[in-house]
Amino acid sequence: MSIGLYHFLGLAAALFSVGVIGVVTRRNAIGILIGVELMLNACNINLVAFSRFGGGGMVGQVFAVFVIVLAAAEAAVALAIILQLFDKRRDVDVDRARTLRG
Amino acid sequence: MEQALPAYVPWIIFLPAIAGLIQQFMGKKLPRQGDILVIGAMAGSLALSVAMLFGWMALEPGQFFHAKMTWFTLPNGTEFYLGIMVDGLTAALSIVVTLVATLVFLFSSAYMKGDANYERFFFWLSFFGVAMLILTLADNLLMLFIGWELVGLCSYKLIGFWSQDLANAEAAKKAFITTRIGDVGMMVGILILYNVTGSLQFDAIYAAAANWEGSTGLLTMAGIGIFLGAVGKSAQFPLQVWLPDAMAGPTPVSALIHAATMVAAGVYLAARMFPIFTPDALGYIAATGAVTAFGAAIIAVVQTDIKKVLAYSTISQLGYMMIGVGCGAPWAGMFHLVTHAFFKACLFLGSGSVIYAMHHAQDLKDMGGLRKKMPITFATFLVATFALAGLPFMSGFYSKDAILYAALGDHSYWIFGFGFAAAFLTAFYMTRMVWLCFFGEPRNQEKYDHAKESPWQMTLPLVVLAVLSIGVIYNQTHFADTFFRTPAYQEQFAKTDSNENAYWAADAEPPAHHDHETWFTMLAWTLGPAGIGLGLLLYARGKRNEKSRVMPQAMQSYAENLAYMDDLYLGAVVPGFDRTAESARWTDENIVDGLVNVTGRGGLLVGDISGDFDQVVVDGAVTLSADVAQGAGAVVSTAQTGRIRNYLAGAIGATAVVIVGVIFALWIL
Amino acid sequence: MGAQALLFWMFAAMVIAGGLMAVLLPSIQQAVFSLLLSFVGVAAIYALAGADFLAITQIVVYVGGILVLLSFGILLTGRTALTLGPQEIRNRPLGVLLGAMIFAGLLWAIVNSSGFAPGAGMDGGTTKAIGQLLLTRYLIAFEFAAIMLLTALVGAAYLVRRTQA
Repeated sequence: MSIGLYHFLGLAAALFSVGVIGVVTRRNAIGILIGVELMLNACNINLVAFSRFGGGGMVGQVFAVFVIVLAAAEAAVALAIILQLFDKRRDVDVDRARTLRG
Repeated sequence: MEQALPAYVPWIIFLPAIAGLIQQFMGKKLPRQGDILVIGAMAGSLALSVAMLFGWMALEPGQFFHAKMTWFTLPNGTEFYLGIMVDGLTAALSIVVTLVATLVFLFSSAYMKGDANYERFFFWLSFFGVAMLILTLADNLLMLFIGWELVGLCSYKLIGFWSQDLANAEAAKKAFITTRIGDVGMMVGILILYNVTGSLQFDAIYAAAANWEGSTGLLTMAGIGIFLGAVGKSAQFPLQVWLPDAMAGPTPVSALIHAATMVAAGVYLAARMFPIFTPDALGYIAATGAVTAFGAAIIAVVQTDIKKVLAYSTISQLGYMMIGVGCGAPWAGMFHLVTHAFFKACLFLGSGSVIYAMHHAQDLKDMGGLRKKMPITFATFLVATFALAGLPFMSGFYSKDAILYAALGDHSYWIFGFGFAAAFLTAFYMTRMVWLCFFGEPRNQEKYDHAKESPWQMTLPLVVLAVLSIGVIYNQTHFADTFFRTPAYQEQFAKTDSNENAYWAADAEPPAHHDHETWFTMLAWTLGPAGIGLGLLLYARGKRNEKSRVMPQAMQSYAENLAYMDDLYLGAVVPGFDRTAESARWTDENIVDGLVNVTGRGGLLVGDISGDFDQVVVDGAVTLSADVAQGAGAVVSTAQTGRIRNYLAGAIGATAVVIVGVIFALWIL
Repeated sequence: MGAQALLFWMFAAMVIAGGLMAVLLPSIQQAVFSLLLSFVGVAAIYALAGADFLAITQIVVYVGGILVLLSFGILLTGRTALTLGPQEIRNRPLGVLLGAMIFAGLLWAIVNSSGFAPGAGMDGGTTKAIGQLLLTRYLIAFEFAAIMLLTALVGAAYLVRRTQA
């Protein structure tokens, strides 16, 4: 069969779900970050697929460029925060970081 | 007919009122503690009264000044007024009041000098003047009654002025309460009049009395009721007991209030309300007057205190005035009121002068031979005594003459007889007093040596009043005719078609003043000298003193026990009142106070309940809401675990639920 | 299956496998490396979809930047990161459930959507087109992105500064 829009979208959906599992499950802060990156990638695939098949023109790809850029920035900041966390507590276990407990 | 009131007339009342107010608040700080202010104000009122007199005299007969303003209105529309009416009665009395008041105020400035409450005395004098003038100038019964009550109040305060002495306070209380009894009758009379005529204005009442709508009996009752007020105020039988005791007050007070003005208010009221007196009422009035005149004269014979002699003399003379009114000649009564005011005030002030010179000794046993030491006092006293005794050419002669003639004209022979006898006794006891005081040997040498003539503030009034006691003045000016035959009811007084039902309307012109029977004239001329002669006969030889018995024993006992009236009251009336007061006290203490206590405890109980309610219910509600909030918060805050993964899971889970939910909803629909 | 389809399925499998491993492996180090696999697969997918510029950018930025960043993160957070062990993974049932729910939902949406015409394939390079668009139509977004990056840079630098001890 020819690869169509829906294949890409299905792939993106699957990748997104995987990312969700990662975010919910992981205890390591970096692990959560990994999950987030996977989700972002799934969004990108979606965008590109629509750009290719959905009649959107180049918009999708341009948007995907921006997403990548921002994902990079976000990863940098997140890591900076994690490093600060590590500095203060000597571990990156998010379960231990519950001073905001109400 | 009404004429517009001249603008200065209200100032007759306002001047002493303002002076009184100033005196009340600033009396102590004024120079001489305000006596000049008060005397000056009253002198001003005198001047205005004279002006008012001339103004009135310019009117036609039957005209009078009248002005009124609405004071308050009842919800049902009836209006009550404050107003001033000026007819002959008013004009004459106003002059009498202001003149005697001015002279007495002047006298007081020397008599009361050095008293600790000097300024308070002048305040009450001024206030009395205001009240008396309100009474005089009033144009309706309400305002007159107000003035009436106020003079009663001032009398009370002034009698008991030296209140440190219990006897004075008791005397003041007796005066007030006794006159109050009369006032009850007066109120009944006023109410009857108001009920039938619908107004308290004099002119309305006069018109109504000409065509009375109620029964005659009712009108008689009204008349007697009003007269009872006069009985109280003018110390007639049986309410005369307060006047002798009132002599406990300072002598100027006795002169002003209890000789010349307040006690005369009763006579003024009787003359003012003359149109409403039915023949029955008039008969009662005349009888009362006669009994009083004679009974008091007997008591005066045995008195040893010079003020008491004059007090009983006053009661007797007031009885005379009532005889005048009761015999259908209110002008005669008013005429006697005027002459009596002057000579009695002169006598009282003269006795005040004597008391002052004797360092406040009042009993005849300390006196004698004073004519050498106090010539002016003696001379004026003598003149006034002649007037009182009714010697020819003195003022009292003409006025008593008029009254006795009226009694004859009314065919009330026994009243004439009583009056006649009283006149004789009057001359007698006055002679006794004058002799024992001013003639003979001094009985108290020490006091005699210290006595000297009083200062000019005292002797000047005496001289003025003595001059006014000389009768030719009145005779020549046809005083009574001018003033007292033209009261406000003049129109109705002459019989016309509109008032032909009125019993008091006169058929013809009253007879001229000197148109007397010969025998009557002879009698009148000799009455006074005869009394004086008897007095001199008994006392001038020095064999008798003030305590000697000169009357038959029965009369003597009657006189010495003051007609047994005080005993009667104390034995019969007072215990009843005491018992009533006692039961009222019991009621008040046990029932009223008990009620108050129960209410108080009830209030406390309510307060407790309210407090408990507040604590349990209200606070409980507040606490409950706080607990609920806290509980809800506690429940909710379990979600605040602080765990990031929980938050993340929550967020994502919510998203998942939303997605699935939306899909589900779309799928179903 | 055409060659295209075959390539697609192969790379799709790579992506999913890499992703699964990245989230399921206890060791973070291994997770990062499986992420590499996933990223490369995604790049290939892009290429299959005709987005050549994007594929290269993906490699450069994600693999060359982010992955390196993550590795440095692991390096700097040291032994504690590596030694979390089995306790590392928690709530696996919940996670799987949520993931499944979302997947199901998205799938249903995909399946029931319609109206998308297969667009023409992109021929030729997209680089030029993207470049043009970035500097004309989407200029502002471009600039904002630049500022964003600057901000992130400064922020990150600030966050990890060594406070005076």
